[in-house]
Amino acid sequence: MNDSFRVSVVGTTVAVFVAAVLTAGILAVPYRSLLPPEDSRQERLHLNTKNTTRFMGKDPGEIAAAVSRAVYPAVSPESTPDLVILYAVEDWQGGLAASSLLRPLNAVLLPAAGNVQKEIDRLKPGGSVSLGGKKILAMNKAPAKKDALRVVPGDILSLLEKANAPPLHAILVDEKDPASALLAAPWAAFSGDLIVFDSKQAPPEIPLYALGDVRVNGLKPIRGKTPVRTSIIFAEFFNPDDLFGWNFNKSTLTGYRAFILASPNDPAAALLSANLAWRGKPGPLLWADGNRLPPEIKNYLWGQRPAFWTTPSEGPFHHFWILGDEGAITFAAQSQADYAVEIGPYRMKGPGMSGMDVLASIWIALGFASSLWIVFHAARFLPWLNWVMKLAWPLLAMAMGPFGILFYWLAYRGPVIDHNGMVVWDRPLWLQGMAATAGSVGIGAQIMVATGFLISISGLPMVSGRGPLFWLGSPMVLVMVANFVVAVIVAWLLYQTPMLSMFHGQSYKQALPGALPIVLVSMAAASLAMFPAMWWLMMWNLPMMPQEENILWFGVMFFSVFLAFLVAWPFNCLLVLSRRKSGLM
Amino acid sequence: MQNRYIPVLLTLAGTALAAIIFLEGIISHEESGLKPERKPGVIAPTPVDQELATVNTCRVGSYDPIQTAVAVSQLMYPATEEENSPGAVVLVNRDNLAEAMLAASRIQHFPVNAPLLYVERDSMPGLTRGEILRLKPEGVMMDGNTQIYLVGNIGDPVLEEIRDLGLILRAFKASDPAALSEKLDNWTSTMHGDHRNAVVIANLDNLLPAVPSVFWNAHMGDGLAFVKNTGIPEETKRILNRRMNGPWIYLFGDEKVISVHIARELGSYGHVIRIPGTSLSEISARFAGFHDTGRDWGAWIWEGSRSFGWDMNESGHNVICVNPDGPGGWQNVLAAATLSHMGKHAAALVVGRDDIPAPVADFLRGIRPCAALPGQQRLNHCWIVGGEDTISRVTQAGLDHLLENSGGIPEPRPESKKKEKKSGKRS
Repeated sequence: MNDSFRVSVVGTTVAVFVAAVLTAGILAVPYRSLLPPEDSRQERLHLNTKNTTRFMGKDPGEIAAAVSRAVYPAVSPESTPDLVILYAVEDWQGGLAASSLLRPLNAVLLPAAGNVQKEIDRLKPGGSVSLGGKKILAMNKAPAKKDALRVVPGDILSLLEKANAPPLHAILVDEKDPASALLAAPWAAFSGDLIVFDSKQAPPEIPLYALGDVRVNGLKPIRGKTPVRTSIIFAEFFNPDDLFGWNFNKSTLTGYRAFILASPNDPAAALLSANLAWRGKPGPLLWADGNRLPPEIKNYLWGQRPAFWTTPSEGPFHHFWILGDEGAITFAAQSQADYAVEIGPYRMKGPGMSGMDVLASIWIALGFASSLWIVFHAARFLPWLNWVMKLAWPLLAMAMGPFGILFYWLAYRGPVIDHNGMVVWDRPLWLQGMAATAGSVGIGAQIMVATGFLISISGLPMVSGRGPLFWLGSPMVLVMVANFVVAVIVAWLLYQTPMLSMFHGQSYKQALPGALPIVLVSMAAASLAMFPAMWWLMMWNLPMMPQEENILWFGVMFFSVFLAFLVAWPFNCLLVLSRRKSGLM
Repeated sequence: MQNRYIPVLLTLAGTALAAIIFLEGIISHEESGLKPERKPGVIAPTPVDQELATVNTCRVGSYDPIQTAVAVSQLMYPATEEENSPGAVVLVNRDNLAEAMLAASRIQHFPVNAPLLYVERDSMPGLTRGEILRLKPEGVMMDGNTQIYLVGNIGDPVLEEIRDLGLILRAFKASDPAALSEKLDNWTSTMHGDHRNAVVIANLDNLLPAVPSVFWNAHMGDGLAFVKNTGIPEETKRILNRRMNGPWIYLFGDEKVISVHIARELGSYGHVIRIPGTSLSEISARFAGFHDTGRDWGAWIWEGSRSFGWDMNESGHNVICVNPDGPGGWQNVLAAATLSHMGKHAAALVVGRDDIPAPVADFLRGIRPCAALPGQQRLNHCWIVGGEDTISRVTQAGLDHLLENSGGIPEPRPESKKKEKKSGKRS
């Protein structure tokens, strides 16, 4: 009695250990994503990444020069603008109105700040034919040399018509709200649409759109509750009737995207987005906010993450332009943008979580809920259940998703009977086999999963081989062997032997030799399903092998436990039939 | 509370407590990967790389291959969070092209996921060391959490330095490149439990024509083995014989690179396919559009097809422009192989400092995007590897122009133009 009590204490402790390891591993997945990004102050040679390019500078003038060099290298006629459009740094309204001119006049938009003359000298604009050879256009009161063409926003429409590029739409913006109005800059540069600050200035023959907090009768403005939301809603907007809007949203079948990230605190720099929107990689302006990417922006990007179907080089590819230095947008935020638009396999991509991750999470959540329910149900209604089965059922249910409770109910709905002074359940053979399977797989397979997890944390072993049996040295095979050995030894000493001794009324030592072959057979039967399933899912079926840090790792493992249960079931029926195992407990 | 619940609650509480302790243990174990608690300092970013971006191209690196490799690594791995950190770092001797080709071809790809950095034979450059510390490689789960792969003939001082950093190291050393190729083939095949049936063959006496294959392999991890002008080494024969299906053997360059005689002999081990071309530029441009598919293996109810080559023949692809004749030599080219592994997944094109060779220009014209609705646009991107003395600013602007979609937005249907004025609502 003392002996069996001691075994039950050790057995319970080991089961608690297994459950705790699995729980900790699963909880670590969301926990890791809550950890803050590393200090972005790194030793770096540059601040670009694979999917982002940054234009840096202490002030809008410097950022503008970097952007201008990218849009116009000015080393050949085709890489040189015809015209430079200047705006006063504080007069973002004037610059915004001029954005429409960039494509038709082959022009670059620069703030008339600091050493802008140096940049003009580098560009050597060729002169605009439709403007009588003028090389500089100055908006409003922008400081400029005398030979510049001086223009006010009201002149833009006639300039567009002169350039034979009449606008197709007009956009009404709020001249007091740069955080919404400036979102129109890249679109105006891309489309040549006219920007107006008063609905009366809009030509009556073209459709009018309102952006931001502006109210005009009969017009529903494009806006969100915050500037960040507005930037997303405008990027998503599309009217198929007149082709107005970027239409950058998840319902677009496929498409290459570029986005421009700027800080709403620096309108003069954000306005430079217009230059990036009509050559190269055009795209809408999104607002950064603080030192991380705003969650709404992340969700927006994740909703349309680029995914490949056959091979990663097929595309689509997305790109980010970052305006300003690390004071405006941190490198941590830039890195989050980089990661959000990285191409990946379709099955592993999704808004926030991939479909596979969601399935795995649901399966695991149902498993844990069932497990807890069984713990309390067994304590309340099945006081005669022996301690091994009391541990086996919750452990099994953890891996079984929605099926744990079903099997538990099937096992214990029958009448109880007396067997050698012990309460057991009267069941047909197929359910006896099932209960026997639950006893061995519930504990054995979960020991395998926990062992696999602990080995994965410290790195899988491998033995590089060259003969036809080289695959035996592969890390997956070695970890499977380790899992099997650990599970057989633990299940034999702590669970199968006491079960047998309880059923036959033998002592622990007497039951020991008889229990080993039973454990070997039932674990081998479980492995028959578990290992091929693991190999198939991890090495072949999933485009990227999940690591123990992903929820999918647990999903794959638990699902293979479920398959192991199904395959081991008939084998256990045979064991029960040959009276080597009891299916009544 | 009923008595029978007490042991249950105690057990559950014990489980929860243990789980919390283990959780902390797991996280602190993961964070303790890199022993020295070295806070990265701050250095002003070198403005050179940044300022030479254009809207379709981005320049990375300089005349110095060590710096180029670090710049590429920083481009690929921001290392601000676990998701954007590498599994390991691959270190190669900067003086051995064959070893560097093997390292990039056979190790970089998943599940390892590592940038390629250079060391000197007997010392580790400070820039490389700083980059390892910045990256804090996580360790490759499938290979004992290895953090550094040291490939080729590298002296003990480098090994010592890595050990001092407390990093988990795996070194591949062999007497010659052919032996190294076999060693790496065994290692990577064991890791995957399978051999890659596509094998690139490079001539040890003329390696450069096969360099475009390295970029493909950094992305795909297919095989690489060597021949010599005088014949096929025993190691290569063994590598080819180990393929249960195939092998599918790919030769880069014309008969002057790998002779007809050797190609015929290779034919007795597997199916030989040549990617022809008389110049490096021509081979690189041909291979960017190349794709070989069809039979690999099949049995009763299942089959798998082979798939080798970038297959870039329409708009919306990315390229890496390199120049092995620049001051950084081939070292500057190999340093960029990591660019194919992630992100833009680009193919390599060989250009001159001051010219875009005709085959490359033709290829780029073929993938130039056309005007489309913004939601359906296709974009190209080009990495320019090295400083202006490797690929000039004028060449860069020319490449930018070749990739440019200069069309505008398509006009709406004529009938909808006449629609009523205020249609600012989603219909």
